[in-house]
Amino acid sequence: MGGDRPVSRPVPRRAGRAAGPVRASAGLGALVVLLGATALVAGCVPTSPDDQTTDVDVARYRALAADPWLAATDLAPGKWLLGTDREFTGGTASFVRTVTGSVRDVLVTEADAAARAGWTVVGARCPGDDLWSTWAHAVSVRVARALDDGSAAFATFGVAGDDPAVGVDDEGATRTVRGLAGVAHHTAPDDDVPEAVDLAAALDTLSCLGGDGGVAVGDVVGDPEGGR
Amino acid sequence: MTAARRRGTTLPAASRIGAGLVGALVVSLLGGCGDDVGARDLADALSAQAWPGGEAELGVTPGGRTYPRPAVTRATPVTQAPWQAVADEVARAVDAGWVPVFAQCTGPRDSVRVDLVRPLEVGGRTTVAAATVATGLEWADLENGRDPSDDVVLSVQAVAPAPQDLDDDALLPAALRAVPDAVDASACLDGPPADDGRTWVGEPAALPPLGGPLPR
Repeated sequence: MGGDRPVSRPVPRRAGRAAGPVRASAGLGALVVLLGATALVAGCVPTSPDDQTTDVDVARYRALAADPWLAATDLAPGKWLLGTDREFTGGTASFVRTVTGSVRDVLVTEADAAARAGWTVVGARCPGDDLWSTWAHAVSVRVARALDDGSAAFATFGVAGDDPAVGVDDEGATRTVRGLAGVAHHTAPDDDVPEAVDLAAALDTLSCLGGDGGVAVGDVVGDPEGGR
Repeated sequence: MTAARRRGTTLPAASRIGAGLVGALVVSLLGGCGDDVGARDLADALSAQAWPGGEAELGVTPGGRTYPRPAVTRATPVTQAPWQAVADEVARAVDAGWVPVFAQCTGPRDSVRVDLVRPLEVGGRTTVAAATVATGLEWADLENGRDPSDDVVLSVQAVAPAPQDLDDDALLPAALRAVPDAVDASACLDGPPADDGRTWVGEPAALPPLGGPLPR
């Protein structure tokens, strides 16, 4: 009996002594795995680049923010596209407001005002399924102006959100005008201001406004929703 | 005895010096804390203004070093003409100490927009808040399916700079770096604007509720 005790007691004692190092090494292993996983995840998830927004982007942002025709209510400087491997977007500005008149008059009114702030009409086009969102359902006009640093800002505006029952020629209709402007990110090549287009002649040409031309006149290349 | 006297005189002196250093450190730390202005402080300062009233909120940011600015926002349908609705609201703002710095309008039934600014005292520092009063901006958010031509919706948005803007004012409108002189907005507010094209006076001062990223 007395001989059983030394046999029976040391077993748990040995097991107890062994459990310490096992738990410790298991904990250490878990910690190493955790640290490794953290390092891997940190390495996989891109963080915002230090140069995502520079003084160049700030200057272009300020130019859009100070534009009295745009009078933008939504503004953002050029920045990194979240989660990407160094993909960037230029600064943007947008506005929404109401103007009374036919679609043609409203567009001309806005273009005239834009011209007083230094913008030049460079193109116009009809709605189309190939366009994203807003401009898929609106006649849009594209304007551009040179910024102080030699790059170009672009803006696209059009009548959006109209009641479909209101005709484009109804001069008493109050219409919602939406505009989006954009400037190049500092990492992108600068654009030149394209050749000017006579808006009245362009609108006469557009098939969606009764003209016998095509659906687009002048510079309508690029993503009008982004403004550039 | 000499050593004891020396100890008796030098140790209290060292203690006093140590206590003085600790006290100076604590005071400087507290002083530093006093100068720190947090987003909640700025939100509280904006909420405390008599106009536009309401609790300033901080939005959620999508990341990428963008940051929320405290903002009070409201949009209400009104029965007046756009110019009249904006004129009434701007008059209330001016009574509360706001200064109009930009106005833009077109015809008598069209959108009117006025930007205002005012100093904001926060934690011993002075910054400038911005507000935009406008019609025609928010109709889609009020009720889907309504004909926007039948609605006049008055939108008010007042925004205070974020703490990040206090450290670097690069993304603040020029009017927020110092309160400028008031502009004469009478062309848009004293009666129906002439239907002769879009007009404006001053420079826009709208401050988006989402700021950044700032240059590093």
